[in-house]
This record gives sequence, C-alpha cells and structure tokens, in this order.
Amino acid sequence: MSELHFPWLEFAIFLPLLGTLVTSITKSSPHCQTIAIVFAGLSLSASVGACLDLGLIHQFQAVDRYDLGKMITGRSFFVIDELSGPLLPLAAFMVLLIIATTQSTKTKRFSYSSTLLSAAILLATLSCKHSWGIVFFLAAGVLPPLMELKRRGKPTFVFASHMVAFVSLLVLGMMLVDFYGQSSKLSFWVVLPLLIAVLIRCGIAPVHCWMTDLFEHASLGGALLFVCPMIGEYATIRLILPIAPDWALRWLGILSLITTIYAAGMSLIQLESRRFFCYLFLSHTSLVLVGLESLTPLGLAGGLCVWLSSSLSLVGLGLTFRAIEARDGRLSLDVFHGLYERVPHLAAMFLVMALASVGFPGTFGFVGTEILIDGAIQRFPHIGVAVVIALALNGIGVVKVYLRIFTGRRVTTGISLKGHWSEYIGLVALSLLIIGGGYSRSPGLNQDTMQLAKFSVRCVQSLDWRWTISTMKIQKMPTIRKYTKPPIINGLMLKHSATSQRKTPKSRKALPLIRWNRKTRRIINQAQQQNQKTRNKTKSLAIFKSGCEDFENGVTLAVLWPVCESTPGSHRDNAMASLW
Amino acid sequence: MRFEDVLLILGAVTLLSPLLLVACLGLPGLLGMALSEKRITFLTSLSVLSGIVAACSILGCMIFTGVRLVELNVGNWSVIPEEHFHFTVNFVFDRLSIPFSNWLPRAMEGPTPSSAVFYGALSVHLTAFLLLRISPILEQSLVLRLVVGALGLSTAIFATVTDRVQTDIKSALAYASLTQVGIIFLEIACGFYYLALIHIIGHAFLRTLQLVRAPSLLRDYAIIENAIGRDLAEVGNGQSTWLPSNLKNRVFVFALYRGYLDEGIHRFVIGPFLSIFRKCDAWERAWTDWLGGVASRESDEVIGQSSSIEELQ
Repeated sequence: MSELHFPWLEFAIFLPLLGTLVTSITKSSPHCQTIAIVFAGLSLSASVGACLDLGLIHQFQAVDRYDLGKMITGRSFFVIDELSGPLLPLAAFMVLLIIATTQSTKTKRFSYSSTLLSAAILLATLSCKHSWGIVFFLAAGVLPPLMELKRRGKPTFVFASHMVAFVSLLVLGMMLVDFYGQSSKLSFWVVLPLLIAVLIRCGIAPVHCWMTDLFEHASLGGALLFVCPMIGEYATIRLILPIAPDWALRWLGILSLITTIYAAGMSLIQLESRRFFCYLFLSHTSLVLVGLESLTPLGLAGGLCVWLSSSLSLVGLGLTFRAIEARDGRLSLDVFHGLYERVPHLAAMFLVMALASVGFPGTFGFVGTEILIDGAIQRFPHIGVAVVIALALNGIGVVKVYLRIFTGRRVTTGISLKGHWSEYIGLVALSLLIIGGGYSRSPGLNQDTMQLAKFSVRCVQSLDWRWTISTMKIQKMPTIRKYTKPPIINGLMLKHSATSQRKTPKSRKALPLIRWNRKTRRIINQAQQQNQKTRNKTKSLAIFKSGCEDFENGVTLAVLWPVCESTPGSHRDNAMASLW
Repeated sequence: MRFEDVLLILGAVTLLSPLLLVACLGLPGLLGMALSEKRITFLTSLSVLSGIVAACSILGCMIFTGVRLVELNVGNWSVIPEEHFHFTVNFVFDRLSIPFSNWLPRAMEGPTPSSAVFYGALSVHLTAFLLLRISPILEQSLVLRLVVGALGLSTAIFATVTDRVQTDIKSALAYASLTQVGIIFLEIACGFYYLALIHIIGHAFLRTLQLVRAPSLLRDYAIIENAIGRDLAEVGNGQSTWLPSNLKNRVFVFALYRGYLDEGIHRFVIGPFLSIFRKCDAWERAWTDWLGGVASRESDEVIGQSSSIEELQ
C-alpha cells in the first residue's frame, strides 16, 4: 500500500491523546482551554496534511510513512482513503470549534480532556478500515459521553441501554459475518444484528430516543461532538454496504425516509431549542442515509455532499445555540426572545447555518440536496418525494426558530453580550466555509459531476449484463475520457459499465478498464460460469471482490463487482459505496 | 443552468421568503401574522417542490425553448396516465388559487412597498409563467385544462368579491392582483398563451406603479382635494343593488372573513398534522420516562419562560 510523506495520521490521532493527558494534569489551570486549542489545532493541521498528502500522491488509499502499528505488529491500523480523506479534517475542525467556542466561564463544567479523548477516538475510527478496529473504536466512542453524564449526575439509563444494545449487536453481527464469510450471499439473520446496530447509532426511528436524551442531559458541546460527525453513517458505509443484500439496503433506505419525515415533523412542535436541534439533526442524518442507501450514483453523490454540508452547518447551528445558551440559558421556543439587537452576530450566524442546513441556494448544501433528491426519486419513485417534504418541513422549523429567538420584542440592554474573539473566529470560519462551499458548488463535486452521474446511469440502463468496475482514477482512462470529462468526486467511486451491450465480456476490448492478469481472468471466468448457470438473470450471480491495486498507469482497480442479485436494472448494479 | 435548478431555487427562495418579510421587524402581532402566512406559503411551496420532483421524475428529460416546453420524446407523454398529469400540473396553480390564496394579502400587509412589489407584482406571476411553460402538457388533457380554468375562474371571483370589503390599500391591491392572476389562469386554460403573456407583463407594470404609489395615496388625495376645493366625488360602494339583502349580508361576511379559508386550513390541515406529532412526542416522553425511571426531560423546566438577564429593569 502506498505511503504518505509523513506520519500524518498518527499525529492526528495521538496529539489529542497527548492533549488529554496534559489537560487532565492542568485541569485547574486558567490556560487549560488554550492548551486544548493548541492540541486540537495541531490535530487539525495533521488531518489536513494527511488529506492533502493523499491528493499529492494520487492514490486511492495510503498509510503513514513511519507506521508505528506496522513496525510493532506488522499490520497497518490507520489508513486514509478517498472517503476518510475529507472526513478527518472535518472531524478535527469540529473538535477545534467546540473547544475554541467554549466560554471561559464554562470551563469548570466542560471537560477538555474528555473532549480531546473523544476526538482521538473519533479520528481513529475514521482512519481505521479494519472491521473489528472500527467496531472497537465505535464501542470506545460511547464512553466519553457516558462518563460525562455520570459526572454531571444525570440519568444515564436511556443512553446507556441504547449504547449497550448498539455495541452488543455490532459485535454479534461482526461475529456472524466473520463466521459465514463476506463473499457469500448473507441471510437475513446474519445481517440483522448489524442492521439494527447501525439503526441505533444513526438514530433511526424508533430507536432514536437516546439522542434526544443525550441532548437533554449532556453538555451541548459533548453531544455535538458525539453526533455531528455522523459516525453511524460511516459505520454503515464501512460495515453494512459491502455485505448487505439489496433488500436490506432498500428497507434501511425506507426506514431512513420515514425517520427524516418524522424527525422533521417533530422538530416543528418542539418547545425547547436543544430538542429542536436534535430532531433537526436526526432529519438530516436520515437524509444522508437515504442517499447512501439509494445505491444510485446521484444518491450516493448527494448523500456524501449532504453529509459534509450538514455536518458543517449543523455543528455551526449547534454552536450558535450553545453560544446563546451560554448568555441566556436554555431557550424556550414558545415565546419570542427578541435577541437580535443584543447578539446580532449570532443572529447572522444562525441564519447562515440554518439556511445552509436546509440547502438554501448559494450555500454549501444546495447542490448536494438537489442531487440527493434526484437520487432518492430514482431509488424510491413513489416515496422519494418524502425527501422534499422533509426539507420543506426543516425549512419551516429553522425559520420559525429564528423568529422566536431573535425577533418578536425589543429588549434594551445596558450589558454587552458580545462574544469572545474565539467565538467570532470559529463561527466566521464556518460561515466562510459554508458560503464559499456554496460558491464553489460543493466539496468534492465539480461541474461535470451531474453529467457524469447521468452518463453512468445511462450506461447502466443500456446494458443487460454488465460488469461494474470501480476505479479512483478514471481520468487516466482514455476510453472513459471520450465520453465525459474527468470526474472528481472525493470518496465516491464512479462505476462504468465497460461491456458492450447485452453481451458478456469476452475480450480485452470489452473490458478496457481492467488490466488483464491471472487474478482478474480467474474472477471473470468464475463470473461467466456463474452467469451461465443463471441464464434467467433473476438470481444472484455472485459478489466477487478483488483487491487489485497498483495497476500500471496509476490505475487502482479497487473492486471488480459483477452484478449480484440481479434482474436487469437492479439497483445493486449501481452500487458503489461498498467499494470503499 | 437547468430549468429544474431554476425551479428549485425559486422554490427554496419562496420557502424562506417569509423570513425576509419580518427580518427587520419586531412587532409580535406582525410576527404572528407572518408566521401564519409562512405556514400557508410553506404548504403551497411544498406542493410546488413536490410537483417539480414529480414532473422531473415522470417526464424525464425536458428542454425549454422560448416560453414553452418542448418535449424530447412525444411518445412517452401519451402513456402517462391522466392522474399523473393532474399531479404533475397541480403544483403550478394551487399556490395562488383557492384555498391557498390568502397568503398573498398577509404577505403584503406588513412590509415596505418594495417587498410588496416583489410579492404583489412579480412573485404572483411565477405560477402563471410556469403554467405557460408546461402548456404542452395542458394541451394533452382536456380535463386538466377544465380544472385549471375552473380554479382560475373561482379564484378570480373570490378575489374580486373579497377585494371590495378590504379597508386598507395593500390588501385591496393584493386581492386585485389575485383577481388578475385568476383571469390569467383562465386565459391559459383556454389556450390564449400570448394573451396571457401580455396580460402578465401589463399587470406587473400596473401593479408595480400602484404599489409604489400606495403609501402616498392619502396625501395625493389631500393635495387633489385642496386643489379642487371640495371632496372627491364618491364612486360606487361596490354593492349590487339587485341582490337580496340577506344574500348581500352573507356575501359581505364571507368576504370580510376572506372566505374562512385560513381557518379551514388551520383546522383541517395544519392542526391535524401537528397533532399527530404531538401525540408521537407524548409517546416518546412516556417511553423515555419509563426507560429512565425518572422524568426524562429537563427541557420542561425551560418551556414557557422568557429568559432575560435584565428582567429587573
């Protein structure tokens, strides 16, 4: 596997750990927050460095140059790839924002060491590709919020019971998958524990109550750090999508659609700001899942874009709520507060974040939202409109809350409630990212993405029996270039059906993207034999996975995936996410 | 930019446009009104967005040249069921037709004339413009054209009746705009597309002038009366003398309460919708209370309090 130029990942993960130690020692020091900011900032720098380095070496995935895990155990634990590339800086940025925007008066109630520990676990989760490693870090990640609830003397049973169920089902599911193997068609009972575990962690109704409980009782900063990186979605991509059968993903998508409507509706009737934010977040996180489980190029691209944009905008919105709470206490939404004249900068930030979260034109989330709608309609023709309804309901909610908090009465004040410089810098940086991201359309998407995605769909629709080939470096393939411009979608592998129409691939010409070697020939022969057995084209062919990497010309063929569970036009054909 | 992009941007802007109305205002009464308007606007915008999605989904690839839509594959259209036609096109006219039309006067009552110009003179024509765009679809279905025409006619009649009992100039102008939009719908339903286009342009100019002049209307009257040295001659009061008095009173009350449309929507649409989620919220509360063994919601202590650190002032 390719190596980065520097051990960025280890720095990104171990610096917060070191910060945890230092801040726990200097807990009573007035400089504790500054120390935490320094460590979080260094971690962010390392994460950005890893992401940039991955781009520089033009590889799909890479490990650290001086990999400590490899030196000790002979195996690399931390890997960065095109999916985790943008997520690592995003998570590190969230941590830095949460620490930096904490008011100094709250230092005694807010644990910086716990926050840095959470950050280290979070970054380790995102850097890990090994299934059991992800399970371990996911399980470890629930401990900091649980400890915080204990420390604050709040009831923990609701949160703890859900998390125990989540971890237990996750471990059980992974054991079952390991037992039955990943390459065969998995049965309902094998996939079920993993599915339920992911449903719990993502907060899909009806197993979402732990999230509202967490927002009720934990500090807002801690709750934001636990939920906003959408680590449940990450687990879905890494653990569920590669193995789950089509029906499972379809039902997961339908449940997500129901949740997104349900949470959007629930946000409308909430009378307290934290609960409102929680349901708004649940609606968005379900939207992301809808996109990821749509298994269409448009839906996946939209899901990823909404993931990034929602994470940023919602963490900004949460931090704005937090800043207002720090000044005025928890906010009731059944009265008008009229805070605009007292905290105009927060009103502006709130507006930017809220509009971005619902995909307002010109903001970060607009393009992603539109693509997501297209993808959802493709995947769920009859109920995909639910995405639009949910977005509209979310729009109602954020406007209503803005009016309740910042307008309605005029409050004259002699006390300045202006924010700290760190608040300004953090929120302004977020706003610039959101508006700048909107200006440059969307992260990871260039202007040709839509055309490319539609091209892919047309390719798939025009083929009867086909191979789905995923590669991260399509721009180096002349056969693709003549159809479309180079796609650049971070973390999203585009697939192209390279076979001629209605024919099985028989020649090298038919599969121009594949480097013909012994391994690929063997895989294709197996698929052809399987195909001959299932001439009716209604049964599963097989799932073949191949770690064909380091191809000549820099082409990395991640997975060679014949159609499985395929009737012509099956959504599985559009699957790409499992290739991560 | 694709036409769907334009539609989505328009939809999103109209979704959030109530915010622009009251962003710089702080009067609770006005806010209440704006929130009420917002619900209706959102409701109708929701149908607009849903319709766009449905249209794109059902019709697939569309291109637009000039004013009208030209389909790429005529054959596909003939197999679209009639109800799909209805669903596809319903979105474009329900926003300004009854029973969703009362958002417009409410949107125009509060803000400055510039905002009123945006709503009353420009925004109101978007729906008619969309109808013009998809006129080939209308031509495929007689039923659909009849529905569009009937809704346009009923909206025009309702708006002109309601217009006559309004006591402020902005509301009167808003209902006058609605009347004209209803007539434009009727023209489109009858197939007079260019007449409708000319009507849209002319009406936009006229209404812009009237709305800009509206704040100085009383002053203009005073100047004229000072100049001529007497009161201006009273024009007709708008009541038809041939109607029986009982019916006249009923129509008057109907118009005064704006057709009871707002109350109907709140009672039969928004209320039940929200009550479903309130019920779900109660279930969630019971579940978390039971699971935790204690009252699980700290937020109950917050609700109803208007927090301010300077209440003692």
